[in-house]
Amino acid sequence: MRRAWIFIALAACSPDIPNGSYECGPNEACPSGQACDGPTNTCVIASTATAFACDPAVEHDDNSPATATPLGALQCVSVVSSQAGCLAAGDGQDWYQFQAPSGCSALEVKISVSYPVAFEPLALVLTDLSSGAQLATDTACKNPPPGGEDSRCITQTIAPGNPYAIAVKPLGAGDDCDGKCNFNRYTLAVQLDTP
Amino acid sequence: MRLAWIALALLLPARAFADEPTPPPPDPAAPAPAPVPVHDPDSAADYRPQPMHKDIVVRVNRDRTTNNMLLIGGIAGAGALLGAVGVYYNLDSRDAAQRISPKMPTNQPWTSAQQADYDRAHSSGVKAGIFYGLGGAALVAAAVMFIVTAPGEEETVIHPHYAIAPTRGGAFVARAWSF
Repeated sequence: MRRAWIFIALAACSPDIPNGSYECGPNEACPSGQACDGPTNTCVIASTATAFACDPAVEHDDNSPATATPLGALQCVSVVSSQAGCLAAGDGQDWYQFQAPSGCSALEVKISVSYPVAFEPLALVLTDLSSGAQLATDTACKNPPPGGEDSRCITQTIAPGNPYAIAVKPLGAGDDCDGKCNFNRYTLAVQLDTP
Repeated sequence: MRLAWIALALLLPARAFADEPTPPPPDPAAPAPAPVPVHDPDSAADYRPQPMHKDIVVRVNRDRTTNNMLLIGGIAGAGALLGAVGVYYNLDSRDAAQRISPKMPTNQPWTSAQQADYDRAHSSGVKAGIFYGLGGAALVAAAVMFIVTAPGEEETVIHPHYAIAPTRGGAFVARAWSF
């Protein structure tokens, strides 16, 4: 019996990775014999993997600040406003806009975008629509999401009463499978607070 | 051993032809005795050592030379060493494989670290197979060489002879060997 266990211990040296054990890594990385499943971002048997596709419900004509998707009315100290979105292949940017409430002594906006690491990384840009100036770009978040997702954050003091726009766009620094996975889905979260 | 044979001979019961008994006095009323057979020396028992039917064959294995033992031992040792290296790579491969073989979904992405473990499991497994093969081949070679270079054996045939001679009250048994 002991000899049998030794034999098994020596023989079992090939990785055994069940279907769906891992989420896709950067550039749709998966173990050999598996492929990235577009809808779930998980590594599955290559023959069962399906292609990435944006959910039509979260796609809008929002490629410019003028056609930005409104985030709704926000209070001086607001709850987190979340918005699911998707950048299809070749979609250069998604715009969202919000109005900073007036009457607040001071305002700070906290913006984060989280997305699967499997596809093209995303970036954030905050623009003051009253002046057209770009206020801030993203940095690494203090609390990155667990698992197979990454996130970028902006924390910026803003002026009460002004309109602002947020652009979600591809990072454009590679990791897009050499152009074969230049798309991604994401969740945008916006919260106003007192600095 | 010879002393044991001699002692055994002395303990044997007397043979019937050891001594002729004293003849009784003639009885005049009795019929004439039958003629006593004349002793013929040519038909008497031959007490000279007679050859036994079966020879004793003694086979003694010759000793291996020191060089032969060193060569075979060296090859066998090299085989064991190669096998040990194979075990090392086998265990390394198993360790790497276990790191990336989850029992349930990990909710973690497949990163370059996992890919490195995957590659290590594969390459170490290949190395283990190669070293197992080399080690096994060396052990087989050592075994074949051990058989092929066996120094053989030295055979000595002993031709035993025996002799039995009647003595007063017994017999003398002797055994002799010639080479």
